[in-house]
Amino acid sequence: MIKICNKSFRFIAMSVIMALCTVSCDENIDYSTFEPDVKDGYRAIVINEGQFGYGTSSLTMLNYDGSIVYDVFRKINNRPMGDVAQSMTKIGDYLYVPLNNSRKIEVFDSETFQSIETMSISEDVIPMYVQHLGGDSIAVTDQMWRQNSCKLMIMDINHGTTRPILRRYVSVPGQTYQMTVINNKLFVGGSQLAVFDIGKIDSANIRFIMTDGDETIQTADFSKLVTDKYGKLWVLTEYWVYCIDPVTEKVIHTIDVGTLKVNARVSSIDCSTDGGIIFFNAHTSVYSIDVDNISQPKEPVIAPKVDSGRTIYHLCVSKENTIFMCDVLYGSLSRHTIREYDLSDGTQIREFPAGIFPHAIYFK
Amino acid sequence: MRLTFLSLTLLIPVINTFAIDDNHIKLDTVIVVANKIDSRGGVGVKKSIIDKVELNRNATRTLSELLQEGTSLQIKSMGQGAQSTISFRGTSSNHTQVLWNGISINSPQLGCFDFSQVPVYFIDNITLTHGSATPYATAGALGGSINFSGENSPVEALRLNIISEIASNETFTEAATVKFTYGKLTSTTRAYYQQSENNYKYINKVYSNEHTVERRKEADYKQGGLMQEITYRLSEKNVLNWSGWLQMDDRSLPQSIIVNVTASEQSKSTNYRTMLNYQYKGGNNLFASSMAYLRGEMDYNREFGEFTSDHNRNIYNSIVANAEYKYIGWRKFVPSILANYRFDDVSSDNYTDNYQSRNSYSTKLLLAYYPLSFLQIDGSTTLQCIDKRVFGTYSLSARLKIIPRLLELKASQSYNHRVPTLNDLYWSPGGNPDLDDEKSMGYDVSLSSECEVFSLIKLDLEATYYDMDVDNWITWIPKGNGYIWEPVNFSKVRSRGAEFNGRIRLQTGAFNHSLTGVYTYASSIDQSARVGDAAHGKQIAYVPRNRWSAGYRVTFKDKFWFHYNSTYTGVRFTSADESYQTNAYTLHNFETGYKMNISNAYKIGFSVKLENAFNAFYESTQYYPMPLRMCWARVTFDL
Repeated sequence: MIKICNKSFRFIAMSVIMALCTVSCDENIDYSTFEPDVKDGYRAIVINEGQFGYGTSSLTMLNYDGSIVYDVFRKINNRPMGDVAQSMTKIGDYLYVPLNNSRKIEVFDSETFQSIETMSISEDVIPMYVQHLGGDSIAVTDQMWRQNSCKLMIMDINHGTTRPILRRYVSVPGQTYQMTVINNKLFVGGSQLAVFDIGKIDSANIRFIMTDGDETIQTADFSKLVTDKYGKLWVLTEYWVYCIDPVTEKVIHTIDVGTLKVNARVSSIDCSTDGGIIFFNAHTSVYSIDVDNISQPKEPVIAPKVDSGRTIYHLCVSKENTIFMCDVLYGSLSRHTIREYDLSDGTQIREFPAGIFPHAIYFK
Repeated sequence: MRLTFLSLTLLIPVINTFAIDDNHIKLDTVIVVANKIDSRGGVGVKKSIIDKVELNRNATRTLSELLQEGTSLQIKSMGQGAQSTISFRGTSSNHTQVLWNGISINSPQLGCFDFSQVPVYFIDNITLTHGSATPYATAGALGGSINFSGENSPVEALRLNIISEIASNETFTEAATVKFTYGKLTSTTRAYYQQSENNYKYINKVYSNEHTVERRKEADYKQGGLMQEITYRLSEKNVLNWSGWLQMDDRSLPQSIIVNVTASEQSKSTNYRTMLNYQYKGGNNLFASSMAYLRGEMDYNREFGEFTSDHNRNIYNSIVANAEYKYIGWRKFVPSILANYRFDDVSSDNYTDNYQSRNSYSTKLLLAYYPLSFLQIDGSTTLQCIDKRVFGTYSLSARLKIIPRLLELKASQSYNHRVPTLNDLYWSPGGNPDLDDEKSMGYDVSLSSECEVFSLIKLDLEATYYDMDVDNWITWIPKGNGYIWEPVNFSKVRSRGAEFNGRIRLQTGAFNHSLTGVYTYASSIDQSARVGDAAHGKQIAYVPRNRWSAGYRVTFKDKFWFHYNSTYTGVRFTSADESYQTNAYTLHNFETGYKMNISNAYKIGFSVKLENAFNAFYESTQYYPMPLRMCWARVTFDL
């Protein structure tokens, strides 16, 4: 009897253990064989910031047929992109995305999204934006605030080589955000609007654009520095929009937007494809300025009705001259929405889910 | 999935890691167990009691590691030696009430409890109460409660136990107990110390395309504790007991591997808990009272880069008084009354006024009714006043023996309430003094069976279904553009699920076999109705839908033993809208030991353990990798 029971017991025991060991209730995600559907080329990439500390930065691909591919970097490379992406820059065939809390810059092919290199950044620098300076040289802004200054990094793109990537740090007062190059000069937005000659990017040769009242210009945190069709520089601040002559480095137009409730933390500025119209958002409305007929905007060109608790985290003008708005529901840790508007009549053309805190849009 | 569920449904009833010790929920034996104020009521409530064998086997581990194997609980850990929280039935860790000798020791600041700060070595009895029908005097355990205590019964001669353990990653543990009885006085003294470099290997698959084997940085820790219990038997009817527990830890806080930062975060905490308990058992009257003082200190330091640093200090002092009276003179009715008072005083660098306090009073009435030999019913109602908030809760439960000694049905219904923590209300920045209380309404029903096959195999089986709604669920969310977080009453959550557990025991000659297992299915759905929020209808973050654990143990002549355990944790979503998830993982642990008698008085034991034997890469918290294979070797000396 005992022998029979022993056998039975062994059988049951082994069966149960083996069954439990081999059972898998849930499917793990493995994207190793994923190929994006980009036969006709994609139209735009949304850069989603993600939830700070959770590594949920992502890229959402919008195709010309309106279909979207969410988190395309993860799907192609079978790993997360990193933590807190707020910009993307194209240099040559590659796209550069700084991940500020991950202290790295992801470099990947602009067509296949295959990772080319992960550029590790020093721990005490928070990489924000990448600007191509020509040749192998790039500038990277830093959000880390230390002794009232931050470190603008001058780096080399050294894919496939053993050269060190960092050439030098340049101390810049306050914090630094977006950059642009006009007339062989590097303009750096942030706590002050700084300017360098491309060949002399160092602390000794830093200059600042001042207002007519001899005050510094603090640009809206994440807002672009925009160039119009005449090569003039436009920047957005909390109370003013400034038009600057990059040659003389003087403010040539000052537009009062103080009554429109511009939010210096989230409002942004962009311009039409031909550089003829400047757009910016204040709260959830979009205003415009005609560069040939500069005047203070009074009425919004787009004023969508949105639910309370929503805000426009960023605004971009597409190559088709439509407005894309990153619509964020405050307090939500879910994927947020991108809305596209027709400028001619302000109607909404489409909306689609992007990622968590969509922050910027890159148009191909 | 459906097939898996079916197969598990068929298989799992034969397995159970923790015996549901019926005696602990029968009124006549509660008193024996409850040297201090402990379990009461809830005849139809699901309770699990972890047996002594499991406690001894895991003596050098923390409570978090103990509960990871063989329970239906959800565990979220930041790594070995790091913060670890536990939740029941798809609720949050704030909904788990933790009690030491019947006194809640949850931090009044955080609400949740760090289970990595409790050595199993200090525990002789542990009871898990599943669901919101709390048997204790205070409300707040929406998910369930965990009560643990030491045992201080008289011994005939001096007893000594010493454990020395060495493990991978420079982990060393020492523990000792001295126990003696002198006349009417019994004393038990326990000491525990563990330190670890904790620089374990893991595979970094997330930072770049190169999957590199790295060692964990800044994860070292030290923790130690001292527990003293003194019992003085004044007379046959009167017992006085004093317990003191000092627990300290000093640990580095490692960073997420998605972040390439050495932030040099350190936390040091000291918890001091002391309690005086008096118990009277005379005739039909049972009375117990206790007075406790709890103090917790936590220092947090963060050195970040060259210029930024962050230091803060949080201290709480709590005074708790409990009293219970029970009358057992009536055949069919057993009434009891419980009263509790608690005062919490918190000093924090993170509060606007650096100071907050809270007063709480509660009274609970419980009536058990035994109308028939096969039917037991009880009900309780609690009235609680916390500062100026007054609210009531209740629970009802019943147990029906359908086929005596074979099949039993249990059911309970409860309404519970949880007030926001002091951090929820006053943390700066972000604290929200306008928060409402969380409220829950839950039901559960269990079918259990105990049977013997051929007088050789003993089967214990239990299947439970539960359904609970939580309103005003408190969630911390980004405020404005995300730089400051604040707690809000966003969510309404419905949590439903099933729990299966069972155990087979078999004795064949000198061999004792035990096969145990637990399977849990948990659906915990966000039902908040915010327009445009994709979280609606999605599973709550970090609650796995599927989880199981199975174990096999064999002992030979009580000298040699072998234990195997396997634990599966299903996919857990890490974002509110199920966009992100951590992978499912299965862990396999093997342990074997030998105990020998050197003489009649001396025993020595050896054991080795292989944890995560097949080198599974897994994360309990996303991007906080857990160790690959680890080895443990232990020597135990008993006098």
